[in-house]
Amino acid sequence: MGKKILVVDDSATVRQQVGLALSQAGFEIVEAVDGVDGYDTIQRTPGIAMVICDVNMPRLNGIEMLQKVKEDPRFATIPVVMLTTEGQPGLIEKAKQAGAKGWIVKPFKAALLIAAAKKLTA
Amino acid sequence: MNEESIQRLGETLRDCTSALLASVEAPVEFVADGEIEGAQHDIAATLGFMSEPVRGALVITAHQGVMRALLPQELRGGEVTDAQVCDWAGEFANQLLGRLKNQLLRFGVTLGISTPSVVTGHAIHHRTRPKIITLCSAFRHADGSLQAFLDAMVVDGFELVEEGDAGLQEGELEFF
Repeated sequence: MGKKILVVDDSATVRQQVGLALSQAGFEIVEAVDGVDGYDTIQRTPGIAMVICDVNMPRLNGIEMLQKVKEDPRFATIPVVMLTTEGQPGLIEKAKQAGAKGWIVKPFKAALLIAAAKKLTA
Repeated sequence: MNEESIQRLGETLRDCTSALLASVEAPVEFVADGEIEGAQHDIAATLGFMSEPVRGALVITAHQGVMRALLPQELRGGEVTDAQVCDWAGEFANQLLGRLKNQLLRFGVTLGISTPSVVTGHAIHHRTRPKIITLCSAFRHADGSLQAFLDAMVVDGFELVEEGDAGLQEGELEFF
């Protein structure tokens, strides 16, 4: 079984698209529909090697979820990459300060995402 | 807002929509900066946006067949449900507003944006309202058409003057 990656996005289509790309590259995919679901999933799913997270989501947005994950010593070392339509420097800096490992602006190329996943789970 | 700024906003809407359509590699042709008469669209997706100088909504109306054809290429081959088409319409509108937001950073405008809502029905028609700037870019595909509307309320005296750079470009990856 490949390394486990959690994909957090409120769009089922994006989750499917990301999941398809990464599973073809040998990763195991776990999905969550927003930040609340994402943080819950991290807590109940052992062995998550990386999180790919949208920013603009209902209930708890991606930056808020990132902050919760990084403040929790059990999960603080899991690399988190933001995958979003946002390219605003202020938001990117906020994610960087909160401990994100990378930022990808949608739409993404599968090869880029796979390269990021391989680098951050190595 | 003066005519020059309105024209700049319209060009930004057209360019962002064209670029997003190009990114999904679907054969879509630009029709006009304006509404297609009697388009009879059956799906709409919308998001609100807000900033100090400008607030409003982005609305996409389309034929569901077009939204289906615009799905990410790797998902087009299999069975596509109506729920998936609706989800994609919302995400497509989200990605378009994201592009607009990134381009408007050049003019010193930083938008806060909502999450998308999607509506299906018959003969969905976008209505313009008084005192609101409405811009539209229309595109045609073999399976129908798609229109992107931008409704904007702008504070008096605000103009689009270029003063900085756009945000991180679509498809780019930045490692920290």
